[in-house]
Amino acid sequence: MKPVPPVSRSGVDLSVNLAGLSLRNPVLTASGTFGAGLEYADFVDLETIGAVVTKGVSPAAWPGNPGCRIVETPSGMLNSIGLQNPGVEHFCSATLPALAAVAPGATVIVNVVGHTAAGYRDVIERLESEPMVAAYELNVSCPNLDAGGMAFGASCDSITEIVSLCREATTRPLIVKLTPNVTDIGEMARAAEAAGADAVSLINTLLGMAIDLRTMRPHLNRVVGGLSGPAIKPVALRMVWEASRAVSVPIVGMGGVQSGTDVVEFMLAGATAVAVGTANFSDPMATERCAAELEAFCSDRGITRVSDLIGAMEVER
Amino acid sequence: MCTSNPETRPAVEAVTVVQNRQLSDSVRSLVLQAPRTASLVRGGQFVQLDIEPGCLTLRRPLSIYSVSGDTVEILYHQVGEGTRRLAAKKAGDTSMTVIGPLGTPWPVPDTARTALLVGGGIGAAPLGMLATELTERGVETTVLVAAQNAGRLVGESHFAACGADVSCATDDGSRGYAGLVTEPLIELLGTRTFDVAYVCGPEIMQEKVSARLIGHGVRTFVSLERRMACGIGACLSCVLPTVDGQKRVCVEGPVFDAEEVLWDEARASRV
Repeated sequence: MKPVPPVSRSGVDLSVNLAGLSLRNPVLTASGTFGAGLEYADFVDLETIGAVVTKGVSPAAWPGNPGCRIVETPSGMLNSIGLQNPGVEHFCSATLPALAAVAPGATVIVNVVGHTAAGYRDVIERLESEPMVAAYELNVSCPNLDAGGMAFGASCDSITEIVSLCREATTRPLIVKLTPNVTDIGEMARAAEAAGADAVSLINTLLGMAIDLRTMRPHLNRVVGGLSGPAIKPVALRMVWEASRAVSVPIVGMGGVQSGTDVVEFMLAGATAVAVGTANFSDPMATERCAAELEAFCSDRGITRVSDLIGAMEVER
Repeated sequence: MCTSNPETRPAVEAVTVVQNRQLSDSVRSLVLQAPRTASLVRGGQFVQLDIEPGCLTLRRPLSIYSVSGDTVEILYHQVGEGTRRLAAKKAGDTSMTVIGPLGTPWPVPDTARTALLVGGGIGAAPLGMLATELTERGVETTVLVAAQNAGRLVGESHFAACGADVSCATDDGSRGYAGLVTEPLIELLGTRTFDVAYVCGPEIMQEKVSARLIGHGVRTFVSLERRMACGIGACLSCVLPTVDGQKRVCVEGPVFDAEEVLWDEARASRV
C-alpha cells in the first residue's frame, strides 16, 4: 500500500484513520458497484481512491439470481443481483493478481459474504495470506441459511456469531456492514462492536419493489430487491447518526452519495469514511470527483483537516 | 481495463446534439457530435448515454447505427422514461455525455465471401455499420429487413445504398412479403448459401431465425440486450446464460455466437 501523501496542494489534509487503516482520503467504493476495481481502471486511478471495497467474495462460486436483476426507480434503483461472484479461490488466483498488476498501491478492502458464519470465516482464512488485502468488510445482509434464511444482520445473535468467529481468524481491521432493514440500527451496531468489530459500515440497501405494467408482474425476478441511490440518503444519514451515538468504533457511511457535499454530510453525521456506490454507474469517475469536491469544500471553508468534520454536526440541546 | 490502450479504450465523452428527428411513425434518429466515439466505434457496439444527468439514475445503452465524420447516429423508439426525455432534446444540446464505445463488435471472418443480415424492427439499427463494413470489404451482402408494418421498417434505404441485396417483410403486408421473416428466410436459404449470418431484433425472432440458420449450417451471430447499470462489466446486472456460463452483455456481448446462447434460460431476463 502506498504511504499516505502529505497535505494536498490546496492545503487540506484529506487523510483519515479508519480503525488503524491510514486512508489517503475518506472516499471509498461501495461493494457491488465497482467489481474489484479492474473495470473502472480505465476511468479512475485506483491508487488515488481512499479504498476500493470489492464485490462480495464467498467461499465457493455463487451464480446470483436468474431473470431481471435491476430496475431504475425515482432517484434510485432496485437490484437483486444475488451476490454473484466466482468465489474466494478465483478471487485469489485471478482477481488479486490482476489488481496488483494494474494498481499495486491501491488500498483494498475485501467484502465477505457467506451462507453460514463458518463460511465467512473460511473466506477470511483463505485471504489472510494475500498481501493486497488491507481489511475485511463483513456483509451481514446475507440470509442465514442455518437460521431459516433471515438476514444475519437482522439478529444480534447472528451478528455476534459471525463477528466473533471472524475476529478469531484475523488481526486485520474487521468492518461489519449493517443492514438498515431492522428496527434499531444502534442495537445492531453495538452487537458488532461488542463482538470485536473494528468499525461498522452502513447502510446496505433498503428492501423495495417495483411492478412492470407491461406484464403486470414485478420488475425483479425475485420480486423484492435492494433500493439504492439518492432516494435513500436521508435514511442512511439518519442511521449513521444513530449508530455514531451507539458505538465508539469508527463508521463508514454510505447511501445515495453523489457529491463531495454528500460526503461532508455523512462525516458530520459521524462517518470517518464515506462510500460511493450507485453514483458510479452514471459517472464512472464519481469517486475521484467526490474527493475533489470534498477538498474544494474544505478549502473554501478554511477547514485544514477533513477529519475535523467527523461527528462535528452541531445539534441544539 | 487499465492495461488497455488509452487511445481506444472506453471513455466518457461530452456530446452535442446535431439533430434529433422523427424518421417515421415510431422511429426517431439522433445524431450526436462525438468525435472520439465516431473514430473508434465498430459495428455492433453501443454507448451508454446519460440522457438527463442528475435526474435519471442510470444511463441508457444505445447502439450506434452509423458514423459520418465526427458524428454518430442512433435510431430509437420512445419506449420508456429515458427515450421519452431523449425525444425532447434539441439540436445544440450539450448536456449529455456518452461512455463508449462499449461491447464486442460484430466479427467478420476473413474467409467470408457471402453474408446474410436479418433485422427485425429497431433491431436493424445495430446492423447499419456492419453492412457498410461488409460491402466495403467486397462481401456479397444480402439483407432481410422485417417489421410489423412499413412505418416500422428500419434501414432499408441505407442497406440498399451500401450495395446490398435488400428485401423486406411486414406482418401486415404494407411492404414486401406479407408475414413473418421466417418465410422469406427459408426461401433465401433454399436458393443461396451464406458463409455467415448476423441477426438482430426482438429476442424471440433472433431465437427462431438463428435456429433456422444454424440448421442450414450457417455461422450465425446475434445481438442481445439486457437491462444495464454500469455498462462496463462491473455490476453484473446484464448477465446472459450461455454454454460457457453467465456472460456480460455489456462486455462479452452484446454480440454472441447464436449457438452459445441458452435461449430458454435467457427468457426470464428478456427486456
